[in-house]
Amino acid sequence: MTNPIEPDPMTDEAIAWAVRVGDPAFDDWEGFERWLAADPAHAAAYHAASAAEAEMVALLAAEPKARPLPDPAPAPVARPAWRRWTIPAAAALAAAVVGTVAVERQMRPSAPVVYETAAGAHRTVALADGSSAILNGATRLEASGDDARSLTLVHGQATFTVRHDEAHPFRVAVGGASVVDVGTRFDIVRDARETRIAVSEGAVDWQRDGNSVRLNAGRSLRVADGSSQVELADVAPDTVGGWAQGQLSFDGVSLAEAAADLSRTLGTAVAVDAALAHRPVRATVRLDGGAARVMPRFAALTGLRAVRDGAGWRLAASP
Amino acid sequence: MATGLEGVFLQHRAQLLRFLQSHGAGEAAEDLLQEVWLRAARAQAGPIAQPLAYLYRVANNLMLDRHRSQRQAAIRERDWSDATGATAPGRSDEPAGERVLIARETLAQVQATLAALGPRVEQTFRRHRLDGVPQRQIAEELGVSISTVESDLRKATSALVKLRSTWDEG
Repeated sequence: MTNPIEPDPMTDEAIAWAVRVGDPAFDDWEGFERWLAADPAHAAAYHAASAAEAEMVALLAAEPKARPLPDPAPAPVARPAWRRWTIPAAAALAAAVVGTVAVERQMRPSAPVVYETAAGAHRTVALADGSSAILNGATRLEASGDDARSLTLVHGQATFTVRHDEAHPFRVAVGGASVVDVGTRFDIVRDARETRIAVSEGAVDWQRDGNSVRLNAGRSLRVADGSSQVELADVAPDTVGGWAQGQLSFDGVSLAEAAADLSRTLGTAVAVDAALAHRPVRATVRLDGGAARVMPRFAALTGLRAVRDGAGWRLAASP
Repeated sequence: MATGLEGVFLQHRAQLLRFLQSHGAGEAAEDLLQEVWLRAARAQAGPIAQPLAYLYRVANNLMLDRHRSQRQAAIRERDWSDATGATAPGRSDEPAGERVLIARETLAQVQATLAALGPRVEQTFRRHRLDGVPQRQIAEELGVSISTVESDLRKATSALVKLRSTWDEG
C-alpha cells in the first residue's frame, strides 16, 4: 500500500521488449536472448511486465461489448462510441481508425461525418465545399468533422468531382496514403489490401511516406498495402467512374477484381473459380436489368459461364 | 511436416536451451525444452513459414505461462498463511473468483488509464492487443510510422503496468 512500484529503467526496457516480442512479426529472438542473459533480473522484469499487461488485457477483453453501429449521421456524444468497440467488425474498426487519424491531423476531435452504402446501392453525396462524391455499393467514406475537404475512403469505391482550390487541396486518405486533387474527376477503389485510382479529368497526386506520384487524366494507379511497387497504367478517361453512369469497364484487371467490382455494384455475391481468378478481363458491361441480366451479359463478353450459386453468382469456365 | 520442424528443433537445440536458461529456467531447462517440443509438435497444423521463430515463440509463451502459474501459486500460499486471508479452503481453487472481483472494481480504472493517453495510443493498443492486428498493419491503417506504433504501445503498456503495480499493495 505504501510503495507503488514506479517504472524504472529496467522496467522500461522490459516493456520495450514486451512490445517488440508481442508482435507476431518479431524475429530478433537472439537479440532478445542476449538482453535476458545480460542480467537475471531482466527475465524477472520482463515476466512481471508481461503478466501485468496480460492481466489488464484480460480485463479489457471482458468489458461490455460493442453497441450497435451508430447512425451514419453522427449524434453528438460526450464520448465517441468507437472507444467501446472491441469486436473486429470491419466497419466499426474502420470508423475507429478514421476517427483517430482525423484527431491526429487536426488535434481537435470532432466526430467525422460518415457516408455509407449497402451493397448494390449508389449514393451521391454533396460535400460542404461544393465538391461531390458518388459512392458505389458497400462503400464507406468519411469526412473530417472539421474539414469537408479532408476525407477517408475506408472501403469500397467512390468517384469524386472536385471543386479545385489551390490554397486548400482536396485530400482523400486511402490505404495509408493520400490522394490530393489538382482539379479533377477521379475514382478510387479501396479493397481489403489494395487501392486503385483512376483519373478522368485534371490530375491527382498520390502521396505516401513522402513519395508522390502524379496521375494525369487517362492514367490509373494500383498499389497493394505494404508494397512499394506502384503499378501505373492507361485508362480510357470516359470509362472512369463508369459504374455511376450505368456501365462497368474492365481494362486488364484480374477476373477476381472484376468480380469484386460486380459484387459491389450489383449487391450480390460473385464468386470466381480459383483457376480463373488471375485471368485478365477487358470488357465494358452495361448495368441495367439487375444481376440476373448483368451476370450473363458479362459472362458472354468474357467467354465465361455465369451460374447461380446460392443467393449469388459464380463465374466458371465455358464447357 | 513434422520432420521439418523436428529437424530445425534438433539443429537449434542448444540455442533454444540457452534461451530458456536466460529466461530463468534454471535446472528445469532440459525438461522445459521437452515441453517446448511437445507443445510445438502438438500445435502444428500445416507447414510453418519460419520454424525457428515459431519454436522461440512457443518457448517464450511457455516461460510466460510458467511465471504466471508460479505467481498464482505464490498468491494462494500467501492467502493460506494470511490470518485475515479471505480465501476459504473449499474455494481456493476457484481461479476466476479473484479476477472477477478485480474486473468489476477496476475495469473503469483501466479504461480511464488508456483513455488518458489519447485516442491514437488507445486505439493502437486495442487494435494490437485485443484485435490481434500486427503492428505494421496498424501503422498502415493509421498512416503513421511503425516506430510511432511501437512508441504508442510502450506508453500504453507502461501506464497499465504502473496501474497494476498500485493494486499489488493490498
